[in-house]
Amino acid sequence: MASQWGVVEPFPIYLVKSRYFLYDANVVSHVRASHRMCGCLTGTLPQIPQQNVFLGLPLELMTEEAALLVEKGAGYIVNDIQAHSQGLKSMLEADKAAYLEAREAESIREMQALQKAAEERRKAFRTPKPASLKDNDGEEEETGEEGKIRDGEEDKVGATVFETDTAKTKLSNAVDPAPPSTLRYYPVPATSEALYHALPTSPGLLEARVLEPAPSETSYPLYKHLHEHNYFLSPGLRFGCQFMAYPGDPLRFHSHFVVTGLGWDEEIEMRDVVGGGRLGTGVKKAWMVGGENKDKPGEVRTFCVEWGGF
Amino acid sequence: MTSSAPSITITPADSTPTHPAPTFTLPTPPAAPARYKKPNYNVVHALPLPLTTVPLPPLIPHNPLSLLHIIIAYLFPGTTSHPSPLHVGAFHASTRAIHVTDPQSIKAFWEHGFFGKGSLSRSEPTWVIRKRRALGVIGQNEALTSEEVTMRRREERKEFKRERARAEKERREKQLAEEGKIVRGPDDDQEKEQRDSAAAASSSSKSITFATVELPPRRRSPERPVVEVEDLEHLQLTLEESFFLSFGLGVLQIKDSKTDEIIPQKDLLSMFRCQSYFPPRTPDMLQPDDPFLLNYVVYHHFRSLGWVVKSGIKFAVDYLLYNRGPVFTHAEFAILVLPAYSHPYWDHDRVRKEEREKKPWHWLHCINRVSSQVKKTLILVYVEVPPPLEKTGAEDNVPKMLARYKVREVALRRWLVSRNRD
Repeated sequence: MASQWGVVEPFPIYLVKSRYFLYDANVVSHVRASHRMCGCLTGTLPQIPQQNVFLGLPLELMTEEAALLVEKGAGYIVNDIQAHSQGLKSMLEADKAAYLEAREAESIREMQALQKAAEERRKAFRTPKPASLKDNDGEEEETGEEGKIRDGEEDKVGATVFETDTAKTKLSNAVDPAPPSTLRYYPVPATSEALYHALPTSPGLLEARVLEPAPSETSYPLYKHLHEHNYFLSPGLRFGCQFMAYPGDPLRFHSHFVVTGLGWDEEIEMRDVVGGGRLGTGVKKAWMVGGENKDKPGEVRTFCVEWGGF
Repeated sequence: MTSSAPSITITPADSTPTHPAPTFTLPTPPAAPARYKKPNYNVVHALPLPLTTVPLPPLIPHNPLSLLHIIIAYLFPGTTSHPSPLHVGAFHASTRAIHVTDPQSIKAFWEHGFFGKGSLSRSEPTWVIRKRRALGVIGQNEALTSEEVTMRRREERKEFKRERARAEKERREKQLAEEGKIVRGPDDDQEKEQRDSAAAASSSSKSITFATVELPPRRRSPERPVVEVEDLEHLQLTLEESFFLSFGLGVLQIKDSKTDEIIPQKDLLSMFRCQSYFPPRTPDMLQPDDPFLLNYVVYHHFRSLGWVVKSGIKFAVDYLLYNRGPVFTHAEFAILVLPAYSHPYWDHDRVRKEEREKKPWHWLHCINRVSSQVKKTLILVYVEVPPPLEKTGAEDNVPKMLARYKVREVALRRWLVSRNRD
């Protein structure tokens, strides 16, 4: 069963240091469209980690989201670190050689492409553009001497560039077929998935159906309840709650509720009721609390509190 | 976009320089709010606590008689610092509060230290003033209470916003008409006029109804009714406040509302500790981390440092700290009382260590957001809970028992990496 993004369920959810991640953009789109889960984009650029306004892959899932996906059978958990080392160890010598060869070939191809591009640039720079000169002819006659001076300068610059280039190529030819000016680098795959292919049936990995870390007993039933009622839920930690509940996709709607899960018989302090009410009303939302009936599993009751401020 | 169009009716206030915001011309312009003259709070609330202190006479080195003055003043003080007889409050278990009904005591407690809260008012007991104004005994702008000031300010703001929205809409419509996006025919103009006149009529009728309710003209006539309004309000002191007044300052005696007998000082602490649970506990079930003890330790700590400490339930915290008092400034700090079980005695107490000491992050974010919304700095006050006393009867020595508690303060502020980068 492949969705329109070519995602086959169950798809892997990667567990790294007790956090759940999705690396594949197609899976991310699929989860958002068919499972109403948005998660949180967490990836930054290693060169500019201060930039945290626009984040990209991987997508971090809430524990509740991962648990629900696993419960539905839409995903399975892969312990990423364990699977990676396992995959590396279980690699055959031939596979390893093939991988290294492929890497080398890819690297050389990249280098050649770069070289070719550089050569083309150089060529374009060295040969005067006849077309553009012809176009400029009329103007040149008018400007007269100024144009000539410009021409002269151009020639000079072109000559120096040409000279240094030849010197360099001579040198590099002696040492290596590749000029040292072109960086040689090996492309690193974004995921380690290519190294191993963990099937959901492979032993040891499917055991992870038992979630660790598991979602909290108070928040998961409420999450499930709201999710079943077609709400989109996103983490609400920075807003002072457990979830923000959106009536549709968060890109289209404002959230209606700030949600906190509670135990069925849990005592709440008056102070915290006031705090929740003020928190919600301050941002024109309603503060929602709810929990699952201990005696009747599956029955969830929710309450909304608003700050009246008489 | 300029505001040169005549229909944009934002004009400066009608030549009253004290008016703070621009008003709009209206069919019935609202009277500029008469600024009510506040009483001189510096004089009214000169004493920080309900105690009177008289400084000793000055010592003049070359006048030996001045030393004699000092000795006499020291040995035979003319006035005592404490009121005589002491203030009396009645303990009510139903409201878990001490009720003070004597007007003199109410005045002393409110004006000198801002203790307690009026049972029918927001803070200062002012119910009788509002009632008398409603009955027309006093004028509309006499002795405004804080509740009324707030209400008027809210009305003013609401009116201002309404007017701003109306002006905005008019300007938008005019601009659209100029750009030719709305075609306004002669019918439309007529309709608009009709609508305008209807609106004017409705607004004026509204203001008339307001006037009859707010300014009853016959009440303001010379034959003002001389009705004596009986003051039905009392001052409510919380358990912590009354224990501070009784144990800390010694100006309050507490009697039981049922038996009408004075409760001896030594029984007060255990009674309040029992009452701080719901349902109240028996004295043999008391613990060193009773809610009353934790709160009182923090209350006493900040009172003795000179802060005016009031309940912070409305901002979802335990206490609010005012620099001099609520009439002078807004509260600067919001206090959250948290027990800390770092003594080795509690190491194996799972309920306390894991349930009472640990709180979820989202809870802290919630409280912190609420207090930063009202521009207060949140302070987490950790009270180090000592192990229970071994000797029975050692709890009677209150100062010694309270000295076993330690208080740590941590100030908390929202700090965002991207906003606070230089």
